[in-house]
Amino acid sequence: MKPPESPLRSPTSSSDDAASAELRQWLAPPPAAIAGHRVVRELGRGAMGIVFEAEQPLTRRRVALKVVLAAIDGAGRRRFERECEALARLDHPGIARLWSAGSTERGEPWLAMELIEGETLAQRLRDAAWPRAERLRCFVSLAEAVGAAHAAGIVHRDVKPANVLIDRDGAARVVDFGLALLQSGVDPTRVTRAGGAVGTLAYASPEQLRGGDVDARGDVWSLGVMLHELLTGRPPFPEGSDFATLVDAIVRRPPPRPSRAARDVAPELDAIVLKALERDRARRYGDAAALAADVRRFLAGERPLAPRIGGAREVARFAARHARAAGVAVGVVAAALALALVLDAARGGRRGAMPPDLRAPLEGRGFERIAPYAALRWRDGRPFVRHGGAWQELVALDGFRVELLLAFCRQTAPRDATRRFTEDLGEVLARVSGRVPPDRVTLRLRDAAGVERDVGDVPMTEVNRNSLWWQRHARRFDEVRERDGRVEVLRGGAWLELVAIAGRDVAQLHADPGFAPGKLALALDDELVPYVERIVGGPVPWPLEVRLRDRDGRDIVVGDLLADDVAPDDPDRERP
Amino acid sequence: MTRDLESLRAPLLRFCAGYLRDTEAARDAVQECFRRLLALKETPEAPPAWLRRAARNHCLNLLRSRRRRRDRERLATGVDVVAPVAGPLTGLVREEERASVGALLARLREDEVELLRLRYVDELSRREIAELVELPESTVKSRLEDALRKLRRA
Repeated sequence: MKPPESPLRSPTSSSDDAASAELRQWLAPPPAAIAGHRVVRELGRGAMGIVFEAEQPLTRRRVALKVVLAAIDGAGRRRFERECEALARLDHPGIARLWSAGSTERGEPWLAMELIEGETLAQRLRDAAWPRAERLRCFVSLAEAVGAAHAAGIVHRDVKPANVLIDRDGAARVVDFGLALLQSGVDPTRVTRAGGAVGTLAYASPEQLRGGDVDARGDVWSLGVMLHELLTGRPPFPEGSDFATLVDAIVRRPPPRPSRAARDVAPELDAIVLKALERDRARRYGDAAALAADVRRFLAGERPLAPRIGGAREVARFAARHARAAGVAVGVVAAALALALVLDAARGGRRGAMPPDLRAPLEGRGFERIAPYAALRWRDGRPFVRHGGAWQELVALDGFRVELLLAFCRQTAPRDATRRFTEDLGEVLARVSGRVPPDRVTLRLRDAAGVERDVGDVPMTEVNRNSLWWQRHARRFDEVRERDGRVEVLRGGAWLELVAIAGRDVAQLHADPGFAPGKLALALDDELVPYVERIVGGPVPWPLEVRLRDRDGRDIVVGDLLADDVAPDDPDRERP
Repeated sequence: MTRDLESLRAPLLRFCAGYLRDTEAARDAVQECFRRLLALKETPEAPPAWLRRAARNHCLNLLRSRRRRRDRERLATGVDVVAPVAGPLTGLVREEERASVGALLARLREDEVELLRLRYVDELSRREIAELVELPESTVKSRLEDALRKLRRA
């Protein structure tokens, strides 16, 4: 019998063998054993890996064995090991225990966790008859467990009802601390693919959305969201709302007090929730234990430490905010107007359906379709920009994580999200941030070593428009190939020879070993801008002329042709 | 004859475990299928194909009753890896997640996953698959292609 061909083979992809090996792994029946554990059955699977019920060697203890089917690099592995050590030391009844961890022969990390039977808090919350006093006691045990982790220096980063189990005795048990650490430990390229950075949005803290570092106070925010949900039956930032509204609610709007949704919630509990949901994390509880203690105080009939809502301090803060705003009245009013329009447009939500009022403030600044960088390249669905002579991943733009901006693009342009991101980044940023983007922005870049760094003061200027246009132009060639030492492009159904690029004779470039024709073919497909930069030893000239020759020996100068009928500042206009 | 049958045991165990995702249940299922085969008055023409068909029917029946049982008593295990809330927003944020092979697989229909598994794990030919699932070979081919296309979606 002929073995089946590689299942994911396609002429365009080169990493198919790896992909098909991965596919086989996902499809395969549970192995008999993993790292000495006898595998009993599969319990579930996620985007990152599979969870098995397994039996530990010797002790025959039943465990939940999680195997991560994702690559993990050297630095990631060391971090994974360090965090495993810390987790294994965490001995708290409210936290699912980590029994052991390691990696398989193939190098996939695995974790043997305590197997807990019960239901998740997400499931439990559906029971409307669950008395509030019990809900609060459950919350206290949950917050204390998370607090114990904080005391040990471990942040969960993804606290949500699905990660909390209610065991048979009604006590909360937090699971998936392991997942949080894997998300930080796994090769970053895979993390983004797995969406680890964002987590479940409704429970994510503003700093998580903005791409800042997350500490214990990030978990406090998530717990605040859950306390609100426990008190009222629904989270303060409901999942059902559309994306822009939700981000707006988390990042900018004052969080709603629980008593708005459920009138019988005591004002003290309102105060506790709002203190956990302070946008400025310095004002939140310092860690989960402090939050637990305050709820415990309330349950004991004492006065919580959280300041009562409507107290003098609140009024003073409100006044202070507004006084500041008045100081820069004109700008703020304009920005607020833009914000309102932006959000309106976002709700209407279609590309090109922007109301004229919104267009005005954006267009004046030239942000409609401009990428902030001379070249933006996509790899595995993530944008890279050229900085400091190397390709670096764009992680955040002006304080907004790329995942977030991309998610917005996906909502408004489901079929064309990356293109929308590339071309309408200014507008996307405006809609997500709710303000007109500044002329200069801060980029957060991640270099090859995984180090993130902010690069400030990057202009979003006209220069970039040029290269962006060329990115599109490069895509106008349906295909590029190499034939008998010549580079040929497919254009309008015919193969044309590439004779010159940016005024440089391709034949001459061939003579230079650094500019092999095969490389040019690749570059035309993929990385035109940096390639041309190397050829000319400077920024890409505009118009960038490409001279093609057809079968009859006639030359066609592409740069000129395009410049004639498609203005570079109007990349949306297609040739007739 | 019996020795020939014994060589079918290991692949059949994998085959059943592919459906049941449970090594102990798979062992029982294999046992049951062999028992049925040996109880036949006449040996079937192609014992491997007969065993596969019997095993598949048996496993699908087990899965159906398991699903009914699970609906009655929900056994949560602390490994709730599938998002329990499924609003449009969750879908949106999880879009990235879905780009991983495992997540893309989760979006396929069960019969599509079955075809992929039969082809790439059990390494059956399209003809053998067609015979097993009682579909024309051309349908098996196009469904496999469909499933792969969905997985390749970048």
